[in-house]
Amino acid sequence: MKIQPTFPNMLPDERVVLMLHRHGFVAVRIALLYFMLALVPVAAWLLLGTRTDIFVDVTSAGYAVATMLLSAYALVWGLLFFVSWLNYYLDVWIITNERIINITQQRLFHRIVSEQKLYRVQDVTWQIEGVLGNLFKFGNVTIQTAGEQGKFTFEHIPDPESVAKSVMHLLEQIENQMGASTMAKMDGDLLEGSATPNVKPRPEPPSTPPAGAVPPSVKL
Amino acid sequence: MTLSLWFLLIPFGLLFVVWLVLSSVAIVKMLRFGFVSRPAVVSSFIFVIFAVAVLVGTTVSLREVDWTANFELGTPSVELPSVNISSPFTR
Repeated sequence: MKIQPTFPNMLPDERVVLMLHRHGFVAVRIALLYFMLALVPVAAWLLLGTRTDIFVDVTSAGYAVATMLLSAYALVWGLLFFVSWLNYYLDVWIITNERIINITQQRLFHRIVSEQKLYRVQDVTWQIEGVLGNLFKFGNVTIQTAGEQGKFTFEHIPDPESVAKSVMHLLEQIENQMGASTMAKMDGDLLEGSATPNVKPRPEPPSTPPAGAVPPSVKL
Repeated sequence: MTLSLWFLLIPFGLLFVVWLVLSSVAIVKMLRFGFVSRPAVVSSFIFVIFAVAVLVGTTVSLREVDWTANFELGTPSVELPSVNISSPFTR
């Protein structure tokens, strides 16, 4: 049984369709950088161990300084690696059946969350660029919306083509639910520059009269 | 200038305090905003294990250091080899 992913502040009847992180290649690239940086203290340890007698006398000042420097390097390295992983992992794009949520973790103390209703989406563009992008099949999806946010860009996500198709499919579903006339009215409102269209996103379905009820008469 | 060796512990201690605060913030952020998912919990756990291992290793390594000893600040502790260059101009 597949567990439905959740996130805070979900609306009632909201369902997560896609939860996207950047492609794993981006994480591997970060990890490779940090593994290379991890070789620096190892090289220093070997160099000091073979060229000097600093690690022979464990009571000496040189030994204390070298050990503390290596320890500080390891602690800072571990923290920076963890924060880089945090910045990668907490960059999330969530597409639900109601809205698009763009969460950007830029630094440890800098987090941006923006969201937009799906029915405000006007244009979806996807692109794959570069040799690595084509090789590992990752790229960007840009979603143009009518809100203040303007556009959302899902950066370096895996398989941008199918993500764009999913968004378009969701839009078609919403169009079918809302009806062509409502969408046309919303388009008109948006073109006039209205930030919030004066229509309900989900109009109630027309109530069917109970069996045997007499339809209201129309006065001519 | 002669200093006691334990003075070296002051910058290390300050660095450790800053590191501890930032690490705590990072772990809290990861667990709070990471949707309580397995990668978030596992990576936080690995980070804590790594940090504890480094700190225990450092403590064990520094246990035998004589912190009451003094050291000279500003003088090289490594003896440089003496070089005897005979200049042709001094003959």
